[in-house]
Amino acid sequence: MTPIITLAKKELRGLLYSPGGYIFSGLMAGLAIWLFSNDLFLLGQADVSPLVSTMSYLLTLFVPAVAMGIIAEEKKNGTWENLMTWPVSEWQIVAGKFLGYGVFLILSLGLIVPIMASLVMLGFSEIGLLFSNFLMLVLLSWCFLGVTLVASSLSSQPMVALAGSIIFLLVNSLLGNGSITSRLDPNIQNVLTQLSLSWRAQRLGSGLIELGNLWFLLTFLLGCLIVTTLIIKSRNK
Amino acid sequence: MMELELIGLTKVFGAKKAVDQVSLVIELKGVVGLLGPNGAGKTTLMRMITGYLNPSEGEIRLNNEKVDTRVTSYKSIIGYLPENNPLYTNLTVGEFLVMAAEIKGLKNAKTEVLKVASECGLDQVLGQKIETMSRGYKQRVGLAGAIMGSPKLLILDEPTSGLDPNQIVEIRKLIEKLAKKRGVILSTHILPEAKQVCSRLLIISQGKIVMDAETRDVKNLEKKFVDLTSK
Repeated sequence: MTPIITLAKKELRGLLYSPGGYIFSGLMAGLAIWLFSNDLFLLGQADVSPLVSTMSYLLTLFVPAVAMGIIAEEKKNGTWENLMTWPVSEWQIVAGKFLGYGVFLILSLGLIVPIMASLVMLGFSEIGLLFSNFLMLVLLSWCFLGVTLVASSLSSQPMVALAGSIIFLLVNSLLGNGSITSRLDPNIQNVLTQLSLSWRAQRLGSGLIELGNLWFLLTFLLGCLIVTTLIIKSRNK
Repeated sequence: MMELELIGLTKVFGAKKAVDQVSLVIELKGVVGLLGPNGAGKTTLMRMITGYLNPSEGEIRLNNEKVDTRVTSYKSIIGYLPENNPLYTNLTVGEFLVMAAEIKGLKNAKTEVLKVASECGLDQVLGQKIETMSRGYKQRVGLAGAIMGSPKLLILDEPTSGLDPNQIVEIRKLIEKLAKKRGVILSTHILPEAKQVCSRLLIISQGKIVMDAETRDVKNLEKKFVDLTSK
């Protein structure tokens, strides 16, 4: 476990000591508050669902922006060669990096807790629902991080990883958008919707924990970590 | 005495053979100099020995046993300083060395860091950020990271490249000191340096070893180097 924890600490330290992490987190929280406030005053209703919907889209941009260099930056700087020749296995590198960034995402999402608290003050009484939505956002951001890990392992250019992840995540989000897929055959539409991470996550955040959705997101995340490990192994051949 | 044996090691990138059927036995003592012009295959050969690259053909044996260079037990006997010495420059020297020690699975990481820092002359700069250091000191940090965990074989890819004459002398002395406890494979362009530091010299050209000799037996190295590599 030690190499994983050590790598996670290195990644977390890098994010906490650099202005980039704070800028992106602040920007995400600021946009979330602004967009949510607009919805709140427009609807005149203390409801968590507009916040969750807004956050799903913001995370699509925010997570790849923060994590695009997770592997690509190391390749670009040459430190990857050091890391790969130290006695640490590929899966430990992937796990350590994921853990460091994963903790940072929890801390960043903590910035929207005041918005959730303000909902409670405005009369929203379902604390359990708020909690499940927060957990859902954490899980969704981890899945997005998994996608960014895969993209970052495929390139030594962080911007390429950023573009690749955002395109994948936006297309994946659109699959769950009924107004986009409505012209398709209902069976195909249903299959495409089921593949959408955001749609699955929003179902989880509705307060009803469906194991199928939970398993889908967890399996997707695990799949991304395994694929990244395999890419790293195959790329050095 | 441990020995590393390379048998028919070959690395192909597309249509180009970067390393072509290299077979060698390297005893893990003294300094072996790997000389060759740019693009001769020095770095690729070193990367295969470190496990960073898999050979296209051939195998590596350690004490007569075939090894998988990707496993951590093999990697722990190798210390490697890549060309251009890539470092995590946002860390302090101490943080970098503690990280290297922990990743290498050392139990008393802090004690090991102090020992290695003292060996490499870094004990006074442990709290300094790597990005603020001179090139010579950065090279010491890279070397300290490479010898962390007391590897049996140290592989140094052009460790004096880009340094000023004083720094070259300092790093050369440090390499000679480190070589007393372990084997060293050193790639360099500087022929006088190779003659001074190395006990054995290998010249590689177009991916093939074209000379393998004890340094004391080599007369007029410069001429030999030009003759063997300018084809």
